[in-house]
Amino acid sequence: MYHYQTADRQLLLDRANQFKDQTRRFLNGELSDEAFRPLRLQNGLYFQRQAPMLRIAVPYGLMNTGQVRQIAAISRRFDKGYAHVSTRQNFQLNWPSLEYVPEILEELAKVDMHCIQTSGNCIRNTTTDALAGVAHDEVIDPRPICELIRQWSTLHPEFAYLPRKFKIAVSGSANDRAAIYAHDIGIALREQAGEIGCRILVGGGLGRTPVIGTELVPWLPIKDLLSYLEAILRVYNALGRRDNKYKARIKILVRAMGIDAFREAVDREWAGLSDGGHTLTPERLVALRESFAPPPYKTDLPTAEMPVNPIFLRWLTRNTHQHKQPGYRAVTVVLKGHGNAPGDVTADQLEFLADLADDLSFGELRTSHEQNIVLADVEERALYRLWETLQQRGLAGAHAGSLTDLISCPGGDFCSLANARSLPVAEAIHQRFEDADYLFDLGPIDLNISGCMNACGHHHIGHIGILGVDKKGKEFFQVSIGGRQGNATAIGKILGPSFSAADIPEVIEKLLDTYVHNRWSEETFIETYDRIGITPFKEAVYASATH
Amino acid sequence: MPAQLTDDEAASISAQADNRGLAANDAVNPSIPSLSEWLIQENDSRLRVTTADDIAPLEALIASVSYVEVHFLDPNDGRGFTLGRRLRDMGFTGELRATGAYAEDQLQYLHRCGFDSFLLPPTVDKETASELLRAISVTLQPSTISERKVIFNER
Repeated sequence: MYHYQTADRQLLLDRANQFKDQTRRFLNGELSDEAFRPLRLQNGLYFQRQAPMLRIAVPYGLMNTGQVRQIAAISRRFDKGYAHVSTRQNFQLNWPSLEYVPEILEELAKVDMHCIQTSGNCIRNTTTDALAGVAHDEVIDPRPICELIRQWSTLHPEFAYLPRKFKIAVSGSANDRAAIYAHDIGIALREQAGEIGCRILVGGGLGRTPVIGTELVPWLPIKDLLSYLEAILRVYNALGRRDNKYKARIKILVRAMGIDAFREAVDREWAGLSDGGHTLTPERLVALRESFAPPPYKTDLPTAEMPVNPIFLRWLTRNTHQHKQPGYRAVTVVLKGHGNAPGDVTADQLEFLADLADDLSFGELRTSHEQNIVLADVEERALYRLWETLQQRGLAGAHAGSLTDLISCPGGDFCSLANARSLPVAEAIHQRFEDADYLFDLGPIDLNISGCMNACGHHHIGHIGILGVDKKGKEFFQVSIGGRQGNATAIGKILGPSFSAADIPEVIEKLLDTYVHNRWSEETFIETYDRIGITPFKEAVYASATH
Repeated sequence: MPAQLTDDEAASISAQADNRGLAANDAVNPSIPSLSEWLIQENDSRLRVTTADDIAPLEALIASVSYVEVHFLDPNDGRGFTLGRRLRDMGFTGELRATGAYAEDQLQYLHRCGFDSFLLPPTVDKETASELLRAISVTLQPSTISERKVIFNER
């Protein structure tokens, strides 16, 4: 992974000192609430219902074990001994107290971590495929480009007060696993005649107005990426709406201008940009790529014999992924289960996973946007031992990619924006659908829950999406089906009138029954939906539903 | 310690502040022509703009400009940063002054976007401003820093 240079470290120390001073000025009344707000947000600090929430950046989801152990230590010392993996691959602490935040930032800086731009109206953490660098279908490793964007966007002087938050995702594979169609900017890396370049999508996003990104350029040489991003951001910063925060994202600007006029504006801006050192030199690209050189894989591994244990084999099928390097697989450790908010992980579990990564996966771990942890480089012959060890700690749930590997925002239990509490709904679904055989039989189903239309749980692109809505002060849940991420990204269709929280498990069960009764042999939920449409699902749910 | 607001409460207060309009307009200097006045007169090398102005018409005339005052309407209005850089990218080498409702913690970003002259917020003196200008000692992307000496004016 990228190793921090002197300048990167100095920047973190300066930033921690700067925030210490800003917090001091706020606490003694020199800075008003309003003046302190953008400063703390750009350091990842929200004020929420119960306590502040601090969001720690995990650039493109990649961490070494020292960093993971430090997160564990910080969560014990300053919080309640657990952390939460967000859908942007970051960590969140739900209970830190404001006075200690500068100290937390200093502790994070010791392991090259920070909270810079994890919130606020600025360029956020760039995300990518959790299988970056190891996926069998990868064309170009996206991590060097993510790192390039991290450096360019970190404390960028021009784009810290944008109309609204700004999210960039990068994919380097034939199959998009980074949700690039649902980002303000999506970048698909390509190779043409030995040259690296990219396709750029703009104006995608979920939230209250879900929009699928539109192609801005089909091919841009990689050397021009930063200057082109600079031109896009400049047009957005100058022209994006600032009068209404619900209309301030770049998707609204792109729609209002039309993609052709937007492209013209970007090209005009691009032509007038002073280069200023934005052009990526071949030397810098080589250096970035060397930072992500493959670990010392063994090349002479014998074919691993997998023990015939049905529970293990189910885990092997569901939770491990084909690897570029023969003899290795990537492993998903699912952070979802009973009594556990999706994505929550305890300090003990983090340390345990760090030990495993040191032992079995070259000392690195990843967070995934599905709110899980990935060990990316495990020898096939070590998989059974790994599975047994995970089993002992209750972390061998074989439901990766299944209904109960659901994605959920923290909802009304924590977040002051939420209309409804999403966590109890997630818990009820876990309780109803705990039969592992049934889940395995159902196959891959993405279930996403958002507590409000800001859509942090990405409900629009779940095969089944659940959205918390407020009706006269009472919480209800709207259900949609047919959404999906990846190359064929689509927004789900709303089933009909919303339901109470108590009805949701039964509604899900009826949707699943409809699928099981209608499916042809190996068809997945989404394939059956595409063939039979929404009507049979609607009829099944509303025929006898009590709402 | 001031009462803590949740972020949605704060957003609503900030929206009310927007509705107050140009509350921070105290520093506009009437002796300097606004962009629209300047475009008619063309006999002054100085002009003032607000962060809401479209400065594209200046491009062809930039060589005749020696001083631009950019008036910030709101500290969260980031258009001023882009405006500064655009002026410098047009080839403007004169004094670029920030006035109005920008925040003191934005001084360094403003400087990196080409501003070299500041009418300081009421609570900030020159010494504090000089320190704020150096808060972060390293940069990870190009800046547009003016070669002129920085001018601070206290209110």
